[in-house]
Amino acid sequence: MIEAQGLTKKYKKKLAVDDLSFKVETGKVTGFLGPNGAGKSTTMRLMLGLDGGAGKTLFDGKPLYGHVHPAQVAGILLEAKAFHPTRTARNHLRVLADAGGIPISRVDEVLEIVGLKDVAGKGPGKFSLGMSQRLGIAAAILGEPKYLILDEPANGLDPEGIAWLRQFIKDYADKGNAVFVSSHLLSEMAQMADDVVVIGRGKLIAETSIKDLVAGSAHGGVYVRSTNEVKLREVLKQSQVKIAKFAEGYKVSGKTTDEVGQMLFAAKLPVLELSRQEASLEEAFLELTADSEEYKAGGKA
Amino acid sequence: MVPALKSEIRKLLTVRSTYVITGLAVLLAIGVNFYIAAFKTTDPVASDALQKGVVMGTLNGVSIFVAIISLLLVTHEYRYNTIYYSLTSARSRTQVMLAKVLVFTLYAVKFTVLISLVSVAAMLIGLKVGDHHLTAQHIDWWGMTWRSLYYVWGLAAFAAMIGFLVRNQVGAIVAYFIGINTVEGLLTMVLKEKAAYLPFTSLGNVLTSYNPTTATSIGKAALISGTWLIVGWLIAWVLFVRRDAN
Repeated sequence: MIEAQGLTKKYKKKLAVDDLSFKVETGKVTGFLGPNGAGKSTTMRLMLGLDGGAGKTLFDGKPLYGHVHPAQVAGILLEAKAFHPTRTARNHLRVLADAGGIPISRVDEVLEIVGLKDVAGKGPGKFSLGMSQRLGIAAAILGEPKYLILDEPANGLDPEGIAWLRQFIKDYADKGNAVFVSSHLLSEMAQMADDVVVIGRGKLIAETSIKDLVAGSAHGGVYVRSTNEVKLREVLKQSQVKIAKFAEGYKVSGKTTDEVGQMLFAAKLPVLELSRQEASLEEAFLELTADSEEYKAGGKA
Repeated sequence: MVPALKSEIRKLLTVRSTYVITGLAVLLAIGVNFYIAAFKTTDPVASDALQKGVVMGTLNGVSIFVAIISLLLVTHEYRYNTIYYSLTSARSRTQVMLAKVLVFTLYAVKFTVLISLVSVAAMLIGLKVGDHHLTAQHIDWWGMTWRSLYYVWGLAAFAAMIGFLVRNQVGAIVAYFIGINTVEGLLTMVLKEKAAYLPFTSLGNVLTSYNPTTATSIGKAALISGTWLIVGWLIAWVLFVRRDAN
Protein backbone atom coordinates (compact mmCIF):
# COMPACT_ATOMS: atom_id res chain seq x y z
CA MET A 1 0.00 0.00 0.00
CA ILE A 2 1.08 3.57 -0.67
CA GLU A 3 0.28 5.94 2.16
CA ALA A 4 0.61 9.66 1.54
CA GLN A 5 0.59 11.54 4.82
CA GLY A 6 0.24 15.28 5.21
CA LEU A 7 1.81 16.21 1.89
CA THR A 8 2.27 19.95 1.72
CA LYS A 9 4.08 22.11 -0.80
CA LYS A 10 4.32 25.87 -0.79
CA TYR A 11 5.65 28.01 -3.65
CA LYS A 12 6.48 31.37 -2.11
CA LYS A 13 3.06 32.43 -0.80
CA LYS A 14 0.97 29.95 -2.75
CA LEU A 15 0.02 26.66 -1.16
CA ALA A 16 0.14 24.18 -4.06
CA VAL A 17 -0.55 21.07 -1.99
CA ASP A 18 -2.27 21.44 1.34
CA ASP A 19 -1.92 18.71 3.96
CA LEU A 20 -2.92 15.96 1.56
CA SER A 21 -3.32 12.42 2.87
CA PHE A 22 -4.65 9.38 1.04
CA LYS A 23 -4.00 5.71 0.40
CA VAL A 24 -3.44 3.71 -2.75
CA GLU A 25 -4.26 0.07 -2.32
CA THR A 26 -2.72 -2.90 -4.07
CA GLY A 27 -4.80 -4.86 -6.55
CA LYS A 28 -6.56 -1.69 -7.60
CA VAL A 29 -6.29 1.15 -10.06
CA THR A 30 -6.61 4.45 -8.24
CA GLY A 31 -7.41 7.46 -10.36
CA PHE A 32 -6.06 10.84 -9.38
CA LEU A 33 -8.40 13.61 -10.46
CA GLY A 34 -8.45 17.34 -10.16
CA PRO A 35 -8.93 20.43 -12.29
CA ASN A 36 -5.96 22.07 -14.01
CA GLY A 37 -3.58 23.53 -11.45
CA ALA A 38 -5.07 21.46 -8.63
CA GLY A 39 -1.62 20.16 -7.69
CA LYS A 40 -1.74 16.62 -9.14
CA SER A 41 1.75 16.62 -10.68
CA THR A 42 3.21 18.38 -7.64
CA THR A 43 1.65 15.76 -5.40
CA MET A 44 3.19 12.96 -7.45
CA ARG A 45 6.59 14.64 -7.27
CA LEU A 46 6.23 15.03 -3.52
CA MET A 47 5.31 11.36 -3.19
CA LEU A 48 8.50 10.40 -5.01
CA GLY A 49 10.72 12.79 -3.09
CA LEU A 50 11.51 14.84 -6.18
CA ASP A 51 10.32 18.07 -4.60
CA GLY A 52 10.94 19.26 -1.09
CA GLY A 53 7.95 19.84 1.15
CA ALA A 54 6.25 18.64 4.29
CA GLY A 55 4.72 15.23 4.81
CA LYS A 56 5.82 11.79 3.76
CA THR A 57 4.82 8.95 1.48
CA LEU A 58 5.35 5.36 2.50
CA PHE A 59 5.60 2.47 0.08
CA ASP A 60 4.97 -0.69 2.11
CA GLY A 61 5.75 1.27 5.24
CA LYS A 62 8.98 2.83 4.00
CA PRO A 63 9.78 5.93 1.98
CA LEU A 64 10.86 5.15 -1.56
CA TYR A 65 14.48 5.95 -0.72
CA GLY A 66 14.33 3.40 2.08
CA HIS A 67 14.12 0.50 -0.37
CA VAL A 68 17.29 -1.14 -1.69
CA HIS A 69 16.24 -0.67 -5.32
CA PRO A 70 13.60 2.09 -5.47
CA ALA A 71 13.06 1.54 -9.21
CA GLN A 72 11.92 -2.00 -8.46
CA VAL A 73 9.34 -0.70 -5.99
CA ALA A 74 7.80 2.22 -7.87
CA GLY A 75 7.75 2.68 -11.62
CA ILE A 76 7.08 6.23 -12.69
CA LEU A 77 5.98 8.17 -15.71
CA LEU A 78 5.81 11.88 -15.06
CA GLU A 79 6.62 13.20 -18.49
CA ALA A 80 6.41 11.55 -21.89
CA LYS A 81 9.45 13.21 -23.45
CA ALA A 82 11.93 12.57 -20.64
CA PHE A 83 14.77 11.10 -22.69
CA HIS A 84 17.88 12.17 -24.55
CA PRO A 85 16.72 12.59 -28.17
CA THR A 86 19.68 10.85 -29.83
CA ARG A 87 20.27 8.07 -27.32
CA THR A 88 18.42 5.10 -28.76
CA ALA A 89 15.25 3.88 -27.08
CA ARG A 90 17.03 0.64 -26.15
CA ASN A 91 20.00 2.48 -24.66
CA HIS A 92 17.67 4.85 -22.81
CA LEU A 93 16.08 1.86 -21.12
CA ARG A 94 19.47 0.23 -20.53
CA VAL A 95 20.61 3.36 -18.70
CA LEU A 96 17.52 3.10 -16.49
CA ALA A 97 17.98 -0.64 -16.02
CA ASP A 98 21.54 -0.07 -14.82
CA ALA A 99 20.41 2.63 -12.42
CA GLY A 100 17.65 0.43 -11.02
CA GLY A 101 19.74 -2.72 -10.62
CA ILE A 102 17.57 -4.42 -13.24
CA PRO A 103 18.93 -7.08 -15.63
CA ILE A 104 19.60 -5.69 -19.12
CA SER A 105 17.64 -8.61 -20.65
CA ARG A 106 14.47 -7.00 -19.30
CA VAL A 107 14.88 -4.09 -21.72
CA ASP A 108 13.89 -6.06 -24.81
CA GLU A 109 11.00 -7.63 -22.91
CA VAL A 110 9.43 -4.26 -22.09
CA LEU A 111 10.08 -2.94 -25.59
CA GLU A 112 8.07 -5.91 -26.86
CA ILE A 113 5.29 -5.29 -24.33
CA VAL A 114 4.82 -1.65 -25.35
CA GLY A 115 5.20 -2.38 -29.06
CA LEU A 116 8.40 -0.43 -29.69
CA LYS A 117 10.74 -3.29 -30.54
CA ASP A 118 10.96 -2.27 -34.20
CA VAL A 119 12.18 1.23 -33.34
CA ALA A 120 14.36 0.25 -30.39
CA GLY A 121 17.52 1.21 -32.26
CA LYS A 122 16.29 4.69 -33.11
CA GLY A 123 16.70 7.92 -31.20
CA PRO A 124 13.37 8.83 -29.64
CA GLY A 125 13.79 12.50 -30.52
CA LYS A 126 11.56 12.00 -33.54
CA PHE A 127 9.02 9.75 -31.83
CA SER A 128 5.41 10.91 -31.83
CA LEU A 129 3.87 11.81 -28.48
CA GLY A 130 2.12 8.43 -28.43
CA MET A 131 5.38 6.54 -29.04
CA SER A 132 7.07 8.62 -26.38
CA GLN A 133 4.33 7.70 -23.93
CA ARG A 134 4.89 4.05 -24.74
CA LEU A 135 8.61 4.46 -24.09
CA GLY A 136 7.75 6.16 -20.79
CA ILE A 137 5.50 3.26 -19.86
CA ALA A 138 8.28 0.82 -20.79
CA ALA A 139 10.57 2.72 -18.43
CA ALA A 140 7.97 2.60 -15.67
CA ILE A 141 7.47 -1.17 -15.84
CA LEU A 142 11.15 -1.98 -16.37
CA GLY A 143 11.74 -3.07 -12.79
CA GLU A 144 8.43 -4.95 -12.56
CA PRO A 145 7.50 -2.63 -9.69
CA LYS A 146 4.68 -3.24 -7.29
CA TYR A 147 3.58 0.36 -7.69
CA LEU A 148 3.06 2.38 -10.83
CA ILE A 149 2.71 6.13 -10.65
CA LEU A 150 1.60 7.54 -13.99
CA ASP A 151 0.90 11.18 -14.77
CA GLU A 152 -1.41 11.55 -17.76
CA PRO A 153 -0.17 8.38 -19.51
CA ALA A 154 -2.89 8.50 -22.16
CA ASN A 155 -1.86 11.91 -23.53
CA GLY A 156 -1.07 11.61 -27.21
CA LEU A 157 -2.13 7.98 -27.55
CA ASP A 158 -4.41 7.06 -30.43
CA PRO A 159 -7.70 5.20 -29.70
CA GLU A 160 -5.99 1.82 -30.13
CA GLY A 161 -3.22 2.97 -27.81
CA ILE A 162 -5.70 4.18 -25.20
CA ALA A 163 -7.55 0.87 -25.31
CA TRP A 164 -4.24 -0.97 -24.95
CA LEU A 165 -3.19 1.24 -22.03
CA ARG A 166 -6.53 0.79 -20.27
CA GLN A 167 -6.29 -2.99 -20.48
CA PHE A 168 -2.62 -2.97 -19.57
CA ILE A 169 -3.22 -0.89 -16.43
CA LYS A 170 -6.15 -3.05 -15.35
CA ASP A 171 -4.15 -6.25 -15.90
CA TYR A 172 -1.19 -4.81 -14.03
CA ALA A 173 -3.36 -4.05 -11.00
CA ASP A 174 -5.07 -7.43 -11.21
CA LYS A 175 -1.69 -9.06 -10.63
CA GLY A 176 -1.72 -7.60 -7.11
CA ASN A 177 0.03 -4.36 -7.96
CA ALA A 178 -1.20 -0.82 -7.38
CA VAL A 179 -1.55 1.74 -10.13
CA PHE A 180 -1.93 5.40 -9.26
CA VAL A 181 -2.83 7.28 -12.40
CA SER A 182 -3.86 10.81 -13.19
CA SER A 183 -5.79 11.60 -16.32
CA HIS A 184 -8.03 14.23 -17.80
CA LEU A 185 -9.88 11.59 -19.78
CA LEU A 186 -12.69 10.97 -17.34
CA SER A 187 -14.45 8.45 -19.53
CA GLU A 188 -11.23 6.43 -19.56
CA MET A 189 -10.83 6.78 -15.84
CA ALA A 190 -14.39 5.59 -15.32
CA GLN A 191 -13.56 2.46 -17.27
CA MET A 192 -10.27 1.58 -15.63
CA ALA A 193 -10.15 2.97 -12.10
CA ASP A 194 -11.55 1.24 -9.02
CA ASP A 195 -10.93 4.10 -6.60
CA VAL A 196 -10.40 7.81 -7.01
CA VAL A 197 -8.62 10.53 -5.14
CA VAL A 198 -10.05 13.92 -6.10
CA ILE A 199 -8.23 17.12 -5.22
CA GLY A 200 -8.90 20.79 -5.84
CA ARG A 201 -6.59 23.71 -5.04
CA GLY A 202 -4.21 21.25 -3.41
CA LYS A 203 -6.78 19.93 -0.96
CA LEU A 204 -8.41 16.54 -0.75
CA ILE A 205 -12.01 16.68 -1.96
CA ALA A 206 -12.84 12.99 -2.09
CA GLU A 207 -11.19 9.63 -1.58
CA THR A 208 -13.62 6.95 -2.49
CA SER A 209 -14.53 4.26 -5.00
CA ILE A 210 -15.74 5.29 -8.45
CA LYS A 211 -18.99 3.51 -7.68
CA ASP A 212 -19.66 5.53 -4.52
CA LEU A 213 -18.55 8.77 -6.15
CA VAL A 214 -21.02 8.37 -8.98
CA ALA A 215 -23.81 7.10 -6.73
CA GLY A 216 -23.43 10.10 -4.44
CA SER A 217 -23.75 12.60 -7.24
CA ALA A 218 -26.79 14.85 -7.40
CA HIS A 219 -26.79 14.17 -11.12
CA GLY A 220 -27.90 10.64 -10.42
CA GLY A 221 -31.52 9.78 -9.58
CA VAL A 222 -34.61 7.92 -10.62
CA TYR A 223 -36.12 8.56 -14.02
CA VAL A 224 -39.83 8.24 -14.21
CA ARG A 225 -42.27 8.59 -17.10
CA SER A 226 -46.04 8.36 -16.94
CA THR A 227 -49.03 8.63 -19.27
CA ASN A 228 -50.05 11.79 -17.45
CA GLU A 229 -47.13 14.15 -17.17
CA VAL A 230 -49.07 16.91 -15.42
CA LYS A 231 -50.34 14.61 -12.71
CA LEU A 232 -46.93 13.00 -12.36
CA ARG A 233 -45.42 16.44 -11.67
CA GLU A 234 -48.11 17.20 -9.07
CA VAL A 235 -47.61 13.90 -7.25
CA LEU A 236 -43.84 14.31 -7.16
CA LYS A 237 -44.13 17.92 -5.96
CA GLN A 238 -46.55 16.95 -3.21
CA SER A 239 -44.05 14.36 -2.00
CA GLN A 240 -41.51 17.18 -1.60
CA VAL A 241 -38.76 15.39 -3.53
CA LYS A 242 -36.27 17.22 -5.70
CA ILE A 243 -37.27 16.84 -9.33
CA ALA A 244 -35.97 17.97 -12.68
CA LYS A 245 -37.55 17.73 -16.13
CA PHE A 246 -35.69 15.07 -18.05
CA ALA A 247 -36.58 13.83 -21.55
CA GLU A 248 -40.32 12.96 -21.50
CA GLY A 249 -40.46 12.53 -17.75
CA TYR A 250 -38.75 13.65 -14.58
CA LYS A 251 -35.54 12.83 -12.72
CA VAL A 252 -36.11 12.39 -8.98
CA SER A 253 -33.17 12.88 -6.62
CA GLY A 254 -32.66 11.32 -3.22
CA LYS A 255 -35.10 8.42 -3.66
CA THR A 256 -34.75 4.83 -4.72
CA THR A 257 -36.72 3.26 -7.57
CA ASP A 258 -38.72 1.29 -4.96
CA GLU A 259 -39.72 4.45 -3.13
CA VAL A 260 -40.76 6.32 -6.27
CA GLY A 261 -42.62 3.26 -7.59
CA GLN A 262 -44.62 2.91 -4.36
CA MET A 263 -45.37 6.64 -4.32
CA LEU A 264 -46.81 6.54 -7.82
CA PHE A 265 -48.72 3.32 -7.14
CA ALA A 266 -50.36 5.00 -4.14
CA ALA A 267 -51.36 7.90 -6.40
CA LYS A 268 -52.79 5.35 -8.90
CA LEU A 269 -50.70 6.81 -11.67
CA PRO A 270 -49.80 4.54 -14.61
CA VAL A 271 -46.00 4.29 -14.96
CA LEU A 272 -44.46 3.78 -18.39
CA GLU A 273 -40.84 3.88 -17.29
CA LEU A 274 -39.01 3.75 -13.97
CA SER A 275 -35.26 3.40 -13.91
CA ARG A 276 -32.15 4.28 -11.96
CA GLN A 277 -30.07 6.97 -13.73
CA GLU A 278 -26.38 6.88 -12.83
CA ALA A 279 -24.44 10.13 -13.01
CA SER A 280 -21.38 9.98 -15.23
CA LEU A 281 -17.96 10.31 -13.64
CA GLU A 282 -17.66 13.61 -15.45
CA GLU A 283 -20.86 14.93 -13.86
CA ALA A 284 -19.77 13.74 -10.43
CA PHE A 285 -16.30 15.22 -10.92
CA LEU A 286 -17.56 18.59 -12.11
CA GLU A 287 -20.01 18.72 -9.24
CA LEU A 288 -17.26 17.99 -6.72
CA THR A 289 -14.72 20.41 -8.13
CA ALA A 290 -17.08 23.23 -9.06
CA ASP A 291 -15.59 25.52 -6.42
CA SER A 292 -12.03 24.34 -6.87
CA GLU A 293 -11.28 25.21 -10.46
CA GLU A 294 -8.38 27.58 -10.62
CA TYR A 295 -8.54 28.21 -14.35
CA LYS A 296 -12.01 28.56 -15.82
CA ALA A 297 -13.10 29.54 -19.29
CA GLY A 298 -14.71 32.97 -19.35
CA GLY A 299 -17.90 32.10 -21.19
CA LYS A 300 -19.38 31.07 -24.49
CA ALA A 301 -17.35 31.35 -27.66
CA MET B 1 26.24 3.21 -5.62
CA VAL B 2 27.37 0.63 -8.20
CA PRO B 3 24.06 0.76 -10.18
CA ALA B 4 24.25 4.57 -10.31
CA LEU B 5 27.86 4.41 -11.48
CA LYS B 6 27.05 1.85 -14.20
CA SER B 7 24.18 4.00 -15.36
CA GLU B 8 26.30 7.15 -15.52
CA ILE B 9 28.99 5.35 -17.52
CA ARG B 10 26.37 4.16 -19.97
CA LYS B 11 24.95 7.67 -20.22
CA LEU B 12 28.36 9.01 -21.17
CA LEU B 13 28.99 6.29 -23.73
CA THR B 14 25.59 6.32 -25.44
CA VAL B 15 25.39 9.91 -26.59
CA ARG B 16 26.86 11.15 -29.84
CA SER B 17 28.33 14.31 -28.31
CA THR B 18 30.88 12.29 -26.30
CA TYR B 19 32.37 10.84 -29.48
CA VAL B 20 32.10 14.00 -31.57
CA ILE B 21 33.78 16.18 -28.96
CA THR B 22 36.47 13.63 -28.08
CA GLY B 23 37.13 13.06 -31.79
CA LEU B 24 37.48 16.77 -32.36
CA ALA B 25 39.99 17.05 -29.50
CA VAL B 26 42.02 14.11 -30.83
CA LEU B 27 42.06 15.54 -34.37
CA LEU B 28 43.17 18.92 -33.09
CA ALA B 29 45.92 17.37 -30.97
CA ILE B 30 47.18 15.28 -33.87
CA GLY B 31 46.95 18.06 -36.45
CA VAL B 32 48.60 20.78 -34.41
CA ASN B 33 51.43 18.59 -33.09
CA PHE B 34 52.13 17.07 -36.49
CA TYR B 35 52.14 20.47 -38.19
CA ILE B 36 54.43 22.07 -35.63
CA ALA B 37 56.83 19.10 -35.59
CA ALA B 38 56.97 18.75 -39.38
CA PHE B 39 56.97 22.37 -40.51
CA LYS B 40 57.72 24.71 -37.61
CA THR B 41 60.50 22.90 -35.80
CA THR B 42 64.02 24.24 -35.82
CA ASP B 43 66.88 21.95 -34.87
CA PRO B 44 67.93 21.20 -32.31
CA VAL B 45 64.60 20.34 -30.69
CA ALA B 46 64.40 21.81 -27.17
CA SER B 47 64.98 19.34 -24.35
CA ASP B 48 61.57 20.13 -22.78
CA ALA B 49 59.65 20.10 -26.06
CA LEU B 50 57.98 16.76 -25.38
CA GLN B 51 56.85 17.45 -21.83
CA LYS B 52 56.09 21.15 -21.91
CA GLY B 53 55.21 21.73 -25.54
CA VAL B 54 53.58 18.52 -26.67
CA VAL B 55 51.90 16.92 -23.65
CA MET B 56 51.17 19.83 -21.33
CA GLY B 57 50.78 22.41 -24.08
CA THR B 58 48.29 20.29 -25.97
CA LEU B 59 46.33 19.46 -22.83
CA ASN B 60 46.19 23.14 -22.03
CA GLY B 61 44.63 23.75 -25.42
CA VAL B 62 42.15 20.91 -25.79
CA SER B 63 41.01 20.21 -22.23
CA ILE B 64 38.10 22.57 -22.73
CA PHE B 65 36.51 19.63 -24.58
CA VAL B 66 36.61 17.51 -21.41
CA ALA B 67 34.97 20.37 -19.58
CA ILE B 68 32.16 20.49 -22.15
CA ILE B 69 31.55 16.74 -21.90
CA SER B 70 31.56 16.92 -18.12
CA LEU B 71 29.10 19.81 -18.20
CA LEU B 72 26.82 17.97 -20.63
CA LEU B 73 26.86 14.89 -18.41
CA VAL B 74 25.10 16.99 -15.80
CA THR B 75 23.00 19.43 -17.81
CA HIS B 76 21.58 16.85 -20.25
CA GLU B 77 19.68 15.48 -17.26
CA TYR B 78 17.95 18.82 -16.73
CA ARG B 79 17.49 19.66 -20.37
CA TYR B 80 15.78 16.36 -21.13
CA ASN B 81 14.23 15.89 -17.66
CA THR B 82 15.85 12.50 -17.16
CA ILE B 83 16.96 13.76 -13.74
CA TYR B 84 13.75 12.43 -12.22
CA TYR B 85 14.66 8.90 -13.29
CA SER B 86 18.16 9.28 -11.83
CA LEU B 87 16.87 10.60 -8.53
CA THR B 88 14.10 8.05 -8.06
CA SER B 89 16.35 5.12 -8.93
CA ALA B 90 19.00 5.85 -6.33
CA ARG B 91 18.73 5.65 -2.57
CA SER B 92 20.14 9.13 -2.13
CA ARG B 93 20.90 12.17 -4.23
CA THR B 94 24.46 12.14 -2.94
CA GLN B 95 24.94 8.78 -4.69
CA VAL B 96 23.81 10.30 -7.98
CA MET B 97 26.20 13.20 -7.62
CA LEU B 98 29.10 10.97 -6.56
CA ALA B 99 28.50 8.68 -9.53
CA LYS B 100 28.75 11.66 -11.87
CA VAL B 101 31.95 12.84 -10.18
CA LEU B 102 33.49 9.38 -10.58
CA VAL B 103 32.47 9.19 -14.22
CA PHE B 104 33.89 12.55 -15.26
CA THR B 105 37.03 11.70 -13.26
CA LEU B 106 37.44 8.42 -15.18
CA TYR B 107 36.79 10.22 -18.43
CA ALA B 108 39.30 12.98 -17.59
CA VAL B 109 42.00 10.36 -16.87
CA LYS B 110 41.32 8.50 -20.12
CA PHE B 111 41.24 11.74 -22.06
CA THR B 112 44.58 12.86 -20.59
CA VAL B 113 46.24 9.57 -21.48
CA LEU B 114 44.71 9.47 -24.97
CA ILE B 115 45.61 13.07 -25.85
CA SER B 116 49.13 12.67 -24.47
CA LEU B 117 49.75 9.51 -26.48
CA VAL B 118 48.36 10.78 -29.79
CA SER B 119 50.15 14.11 -29.37
CA VAL B 120 53.53 12.42 -28.82
CA ALA B 121 52.89 10.05 -31.72
CA ALA B 122 51.90 12.96 -34.01
CA MET B 123 55.00 14.87 -32.96
CA LEU B 124 57.31 11.92 -33.66
CA ILE B 125 55.74 11.34 -37.08
CA GLY B 126 55.94 15.07 -37.82
CA LEU B 127 59.61 15.18 -36.90
CA LYS B 128 60.23 12.26 -39.22
CA VAL B 129 58.34 13.91 -42.06
CA GLY B 130 60.19 17.19 -41.49
CA ASP B 131 63.48 15.32 -41.24
CA HIS B 132 64.19 16.51 -37.74
CA HIS B 133 65.73 14.50 -34.95
CA LEU B 134 64.44 14.35 -31.43
CA THR B 135 67.19 15.33 -29.07
CA ALA B 136 67.46 13.81 -25.58
CA GLN B 137 64.41 14.92 -23.63
CA HIS B 138 64.23 15.88 -20.01
CA ILE B 139 60.98 14.53 -18.62
CA ASP B 140 59.76 14.97 -15.05
CA TRP B 141 57.46 11.97 -15.20
CA TRP B 142 55.80 12.45 -11.82
CA GLY B 143 55.35 16.21 -12.22
CA MET B 144 54.04 15.90 -15.74
CA THR B 145 51.58 13.17 -14.77
CA TRP B 146 49.99 14.73 -11.70
CA ARG B 147 49.91 18.25 -13.09
CA SER B 148 48.31 17.09 -16.35
CA LEU B 149 45.75 14.91 -14.61
CA TYR B 150 44.95 17.55 -12.01
CA TYR B 151 44.47 20.26 -14.62
CA VAL B 152 42.23 18.23 -16.91
CA TRP B 153 40.22 16.88 -13.98
CA GLY B 154 40.00 20.36 -12.48
CA LEU B 155 38.49 21.82 -15.63
CA ALA B 156 35.99 18.95 -15.78
CA ALA B 157 35.16 19.44 -12.09
CA PHE B 158 34.59 23.19 -12.49
CA ALA B 159 32.35 22.55 -15.49
CA ALA B 160 30.25 19.86 -13.77
CA MET B 161 29.99 22.02 -10.68
CA ILE B 162 28.63 24.91 -12.76
CA GLY B 163 26.24 22.44 -14.40
CA PHE B 164 24.89 21.38 -10.99
CA LEU B 165 24.59 24.98 -9.83
CA VAL B 166 22.98 26.45 -12.95
CA ARG B 167 21.05 23.30 -14.09
CA ASN B 168 20.27 24.88 -17.43
CA GLN B 169 22.43 23.68 -20.32
CA VAL B 170 22.77 26.93 -22.22
CA GLY B 171 23.05 28.93 -19.02
CA ALA B 172 25.79 26.65 -17.68
CA ILE B 173 27.82 26.79 -20.91
CA VAL B 174 27.52 30.57 -21.00
CA ALA B 175 28.43 30.83 -17.29
CA TYR B 176 31.42 28.56 -17.80
CA PHE B 177 32.87 30.46 -20.73
CA ILE B 178 32.06 33.87 -19.31
CA GLY B 179 33.62 32.73 -16.04
CA ILE B 180 36.88 31.78 -17.72
CA ASN B 181 37.23 34.43 -20.35
CA THR B 182 35.32 37.53 -19.42
CA VAL B 183 35.13 37.60 -15.64
CA GLU B 184 38.60 36.23 -14.92
CA GLY B 185 40.08 38.24 -17.75
CA LEU B 186 38.68 41.49 -16.36
CA LEU B 187 39.54 40.58 -12.80
CA THR B 188 43.12 39.78 -13.82
CA MET B 189 43.47 43.31 -15.13
CA VAL B 190 42.24 44.70 -11.83
CA LEU B 191 43.87 42.29 -9.40
CA LYS B 192 47.23 41.96 -11.21
CA GLU B 193 49.43 39.46 -9.25
CA LYS B 194 46.53 38.72 -6.86
CA ALA B 195 44.73 37.16 -9.85
CA ALA B 196 46.71 34.05 -8.98
CA TYR B 197 43.99 33.46 -6.40
CA LEU B 198 41.23 33.23 -9.01
CA PRO B 199 39.85 29.73 -9.72
CA PHE B 200 40.72 29.21 -13.38
CA THR B 201 43.95 31.21 -13.25
CA SER B 202 45.19 29.14 -10.33
CA LEU B 203 44.18 25.94 -12.09
CA GLY B 204 46.04 27.05 -15.21
CA ASN B 205 49.10 27.77 -13.10
CA VAL B 206 49.22 24.13 -12.06
CA LEU B 207 49.82 23.04 -15.64
CA THR B 208 51.78 25.86 -17.10
CA SER B 209 52.31 29.52 -16.31
CA TYR B 210 52.44 31.64 -19.40
CA ASN B 211 51.61 34.83 -17.58
CA PRO B 212 54.50 35.78 -15.31
CA THR B 213 52.34 38.31 -13.43
CA THR B 214 50.01 35.71 -12.02
CA ALA B 215 52.46 32.81 -11.73
CA THR B 216 52.78 31.09 -8.36
CA SER B 217 54.45 27.91 -7.22
CA ILE B 218 52.76 24.83 -8.61
CA GLY B 219 51.90 23.51 -5.14
CA LYS B 220 50.32 26.80 -4.12
CA ALA B 221 48.36 26.99 -7.37
CA ALA B 222 47.02 23.48 -6.75
CA LEU B 223 46.04 24.44 -3.22
CA ILE B 224 44.20 27.58 -4.36
CA SER B 225 42.31 25.88 -7.18
CA GLY B 226 41.61 22.88 -4.93
CA THR B 227 40.10 25.18 -2.31
CA TRP B 228 37.84 26.77 -4.92
CA LEU B 229 36.73 23.33 -6.06
CA ILE B 230 36.04 22.04 -2.56
CA VAL B 231 34.02 25.10 -1.56
CA GLY B 232 32.17 25.16 -4.89
CA TRP B 233 31.32 21.48 -4.73
CA LEU B 234 30.11 21.74 -1.14
CA ILE B 235 27.67 24.45 -2.21
CA ALA B 236 26.64 22.44 -5.27
CA TRP B 237 26.10 19.32 -3.12
CA VAL B 238 23.97 21.11 -0.51
CA LEU B 239 21.81 22.67 -3.24
CA PHE B 240 21.53 19.40 -5.16
CA VAL B 241 20.31 17.58 -2.08
CA ARG B 242 17.92 20.30 -0.92
CA ARG B 243 16.46 21.82 -4.07
CA ASP B 244 13.48 20.51 -6.02
CA ALA B 245 14.58 17.97 -8.64
CA ASN B 246 14.37 20.39 -11.56
